[in-house]
Amino acid sequence: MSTAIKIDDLWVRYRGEEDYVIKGLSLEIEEGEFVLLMGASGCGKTTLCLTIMGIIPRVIKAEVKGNVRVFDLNPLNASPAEIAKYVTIVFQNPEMQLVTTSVYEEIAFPLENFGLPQDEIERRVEEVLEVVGLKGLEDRSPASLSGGQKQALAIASVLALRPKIIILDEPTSQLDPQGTKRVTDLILKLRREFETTILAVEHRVEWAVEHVDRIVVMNDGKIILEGDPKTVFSKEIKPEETGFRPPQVSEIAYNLIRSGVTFPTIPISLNEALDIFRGILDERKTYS
Amino acid sequence: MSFEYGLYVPGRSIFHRIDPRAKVIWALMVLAFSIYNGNYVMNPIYGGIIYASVLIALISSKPTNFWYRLFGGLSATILFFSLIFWPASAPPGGEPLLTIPVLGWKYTDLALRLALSKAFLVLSPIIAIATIFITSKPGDLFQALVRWKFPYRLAYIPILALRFLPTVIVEIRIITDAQRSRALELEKGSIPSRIRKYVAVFVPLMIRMMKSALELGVALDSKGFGAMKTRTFSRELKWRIYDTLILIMFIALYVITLIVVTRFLAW
Amino acid sequence: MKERPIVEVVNASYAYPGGIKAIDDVSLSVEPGEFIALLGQNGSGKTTLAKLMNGLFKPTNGTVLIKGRDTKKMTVAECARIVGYVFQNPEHQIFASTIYEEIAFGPRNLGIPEEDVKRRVEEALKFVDLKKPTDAFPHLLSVGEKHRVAIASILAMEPELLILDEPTTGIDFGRSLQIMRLLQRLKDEGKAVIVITHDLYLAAEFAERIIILKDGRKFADGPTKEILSNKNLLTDAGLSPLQVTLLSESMKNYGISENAVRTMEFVEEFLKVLRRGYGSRV
Repeated sequence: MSTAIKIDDLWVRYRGEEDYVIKGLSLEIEEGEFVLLMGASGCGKTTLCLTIMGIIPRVIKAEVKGNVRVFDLNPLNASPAEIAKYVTIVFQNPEMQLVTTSVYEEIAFPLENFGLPQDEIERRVEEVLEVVGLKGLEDRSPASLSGGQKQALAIASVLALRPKIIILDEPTSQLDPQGTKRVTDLILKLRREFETTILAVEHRVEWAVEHVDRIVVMNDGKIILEGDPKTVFSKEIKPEETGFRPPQVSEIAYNLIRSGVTFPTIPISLNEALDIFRGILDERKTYS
Repeated sequence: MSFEYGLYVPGRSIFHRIDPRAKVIWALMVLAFSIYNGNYVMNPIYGGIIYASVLIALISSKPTNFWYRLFGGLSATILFFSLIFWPASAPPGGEPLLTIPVLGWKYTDLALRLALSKAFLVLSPIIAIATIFITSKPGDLFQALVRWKFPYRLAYIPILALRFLPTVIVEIRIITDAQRSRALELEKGSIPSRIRKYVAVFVPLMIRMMKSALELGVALDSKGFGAMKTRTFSRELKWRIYDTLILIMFIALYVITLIVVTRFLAW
Repeated sequence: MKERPIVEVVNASYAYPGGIKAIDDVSLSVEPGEFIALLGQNGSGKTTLAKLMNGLFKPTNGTVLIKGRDTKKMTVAECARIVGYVFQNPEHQIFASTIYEEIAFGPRNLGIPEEDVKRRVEEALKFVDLKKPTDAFPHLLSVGEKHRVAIASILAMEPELLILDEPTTGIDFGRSLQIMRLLQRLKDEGKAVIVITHDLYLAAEFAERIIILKDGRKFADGPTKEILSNKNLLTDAGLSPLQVTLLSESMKNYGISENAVRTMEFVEEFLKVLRRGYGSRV
């Protein structure tokens, strides 16, 4: 497995600003990993994503120091065509990412931009429509789709490029429960069927902990916490500092610990919690 | 009307199936012949025939009620104002048709000819151009421009405007609702005060649009827009025989009618 | 004489031209001091209901009464005196060149005299805990600060009911908690608060009444505990029960007596069972 993303001592400062938004950040993501990026507003998550894409500094002017590598490419001075082969990005607001007036055209758009031949474009569009579940809606206008469908379409349009890495910046934050499920199912499908490397900024922790390989927590431009979900939640997470809340079962455990209950490990999923809580009560029974 | 496809109204009429390039050529023809008639020939029957041809093109495309109301109102308004104001520039002489003693106005047949011709001069090209947008998908219009050697980065700008038309309409509605919920009464007050009130709608809209423009720019870039000198099109426009035939038909209509009308119906 | 509820929705329906009913025969009333969470899938009619309650929409059937007056006979501005509506994105509202002007906008539109306006602006800023100078440019504030300016600008109109459309969507959890606590203080002062949200966790922790809409109809309306602990009800409405509810339900046979909807409810129950030495597994 090669390294998909390698960031070394990255510093980013927007033009005209005094403070650095990213302060000496280093991160490595292996191919095929599903990494969750979290943190309070302003911690630099989006800036990091844009820098990995090379959008900073190419489109958004900023001072960038340090090294970024996406596979063997340096996005800071590579062309968009080269970058698109490896990594693509989907943003929070589907509205501003959909640039055409039909579902088919939307998916074909990036492929047309990169000059792919017609038959290749047709093939990939059909394939992607199937994967994201938008088959039959080819002629619909993106404006008429539901939130979840719009976001699925946004993902579809970058998927057609067959990127090795997909970055998702809060893909479900504007969606209702139904839309969220559509998108999270799709993300899992990409992982399962295509082994895509996924870097997602996402606050819906309870869903994520069961599927992600690693969680990276940022604060003020630096990484303050990193590890697999069990490790990250093994110490109490304070929402005010980190910008997200832990899985409720973990929150319950933190409170019980404060009241003197001993835990073998902090549960992060419902099933785990059931086992552990029942276990605690069972043990007590043997003493009474 | 939802504007979800910009100005395009989906359909399967003849005009929907014509290549957008043919439609643009047709509209340019309408423009050319309308200007010629409106400034030189000034034959209202001819002008009326051109006008009728664009109306038939429009109506056959089955647009929504919005367009009927828009062009009905526009036609009535332009006709009305033409009939009132153009006679002042009418050439002298001619048969008086209507005299309004109080104003000392003589409404001659030359004045009527002039007014009607000018009205048709304005209306026909507008409706023709609208018909292009109503019957052509924005993506196809884009391709037409690029095939005609317009640089694609520029050519996509009007397409983006069409794409974001429904979005802007929704934004305006949300902002207006939000400000009305703060007791802003846009329907009350004198004209100057009402204009000042619209600042509360205009400013948030402008700011949202500027922010969106940045987001849009980033999105376009991440989809490779502008990355290469030329781009391909997944569904190619194909110029067909009937595109040529339709154009020939219109040329014939406009030229032959011009000849017939100027020779035999000198009005 | 008992005071009238702030808003009464009486068999109200709202149909779009074309016939689609966004709201179908809904009845409910809102009393002072209530903290209600309005839930439902997108398209269930939540926003339409909210707009019926603040007079932006008038019911096509049935009636909506604000303090006893029929909204059909009131202008939106008159309704705004009593029902305040904070829209989801503060950027849809913020237009002025200073924070002061922004917050003064609402009260001025209501015809409040200037000295009173000044007092209201200051109180509203204090309430939302915004420590920026009043001549600052509102467009340059951070996201959290803009949300607070938007809320302040509605609070300055001193409404009796405050409706907020997804105030926590798209902002981080720490900030969301801040805003919910702010709303809680409003409720403590006797105002009524309705929050349209998708976040069941926050709804459970802060609201005491839940209304769920489904396909334009009122699907559920009751105390938070009762509604959110009902797994089947939630699933029917397309919502997922909270982990704490599923946890307590699965541990019934261990002596956990009720379906908790709040973290601390389960914590307390668990401790009770633990200390009692639950040998009573009978």
